[in-house]
Amino acid sequence: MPELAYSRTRHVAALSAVSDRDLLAQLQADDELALDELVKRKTRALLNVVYRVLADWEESRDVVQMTFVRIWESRSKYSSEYSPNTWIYRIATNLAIDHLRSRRSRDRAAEPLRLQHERRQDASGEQHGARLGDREVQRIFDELAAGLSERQRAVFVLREIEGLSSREVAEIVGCRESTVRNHLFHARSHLRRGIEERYPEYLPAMRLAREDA
Amino acid sequence: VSCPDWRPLVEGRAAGAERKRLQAHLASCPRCLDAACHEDPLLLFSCRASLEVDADEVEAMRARVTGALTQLERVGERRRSIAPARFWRHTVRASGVAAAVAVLSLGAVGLSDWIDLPSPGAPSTSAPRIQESPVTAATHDDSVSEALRGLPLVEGSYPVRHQASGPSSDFLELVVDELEH
Repeated sequence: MPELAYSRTRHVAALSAVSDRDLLAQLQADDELALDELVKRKTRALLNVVYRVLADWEESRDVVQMTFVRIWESRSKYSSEYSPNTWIYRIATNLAIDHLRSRRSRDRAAEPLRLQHERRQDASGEQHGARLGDREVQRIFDELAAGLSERQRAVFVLREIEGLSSREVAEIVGCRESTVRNHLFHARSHLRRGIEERYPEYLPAMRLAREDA
Repeated sequence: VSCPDWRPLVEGRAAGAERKRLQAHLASCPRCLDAACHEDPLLLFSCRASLEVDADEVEAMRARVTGALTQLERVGERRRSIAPARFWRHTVRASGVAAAVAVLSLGAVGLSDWIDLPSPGAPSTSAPRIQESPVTAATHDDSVSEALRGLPLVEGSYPVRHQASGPSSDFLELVVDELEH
């Protein structure tokens, strides 16, 4: 048994040194330790992306968990000609979009309850400080992005926040680059208008500029 | 502390690692972020600190994924164990239906032999024949039809036949024919 334990440790150490592409190749050979390594490497990045799309920590965890399960189930479909990150982000983004879609339809059904909850939160909510906290920024983003389609929102997150190229975003979302640019243009216009109309006070520089004038 | 020039980010010239570096700087430097947001308000959303995901969170995710896969495997095993039983149940049910159909068919053949029923294609002799009216019968006779067609039209009032159209026109004409006769 010590020999077995030693070889397992050695295998784990070897996996931590291989590239993402090789890790997916190991996954295709039904190596469960490769999945563990993938979870270790990608959890942080995936949680960040999915949380930006969903704005809910628990739901983001669920979606990331589903992403890893889906990766394991469809490991045979991965082709080494694709970038591992693109393939993994594609699965995560599609799941997040599906989740957002189903959540929106649920929210529409429970609209009166949601409004009541929001009003209660506003009444007892924290006062906005001089600097906006990340949570507050996320809340504003979530509110303004509610007017975007799921795909436009995902494109904005991947392109503007994650900094992926248009080609990568097109591969992840499964559309043409021109469509990505189109989605991005609409998302940017919508969000910019939303900030300027609804939250001009949250832009200190703009506020200072107005006060100076 | 000297701040990096974030202008390439605002102008969309920064990409890859450079972009990440500038975003991280704006996320940690309120002064630069304020100035950059003055140029592009959307940087408020894109230049945020990454979420803190510690080692415990990653370990918890690993445990969740392993648990989910174990559960899926159990469901798969259960399905696999149920599948043969389901196959035999379906087979027995199909065999029963086939046997019942065979018995009924053989029984019907035997019964028809026993009571000497006519075969379905043979003309029935016992069915009552519908009596045709003399006029209708006459129109079936070719010689009578020829003779009628040769007769001159007599002046007088005739029923006016309206031209019908559409899918039911044939049926209407048939009805009018029958009424006229």
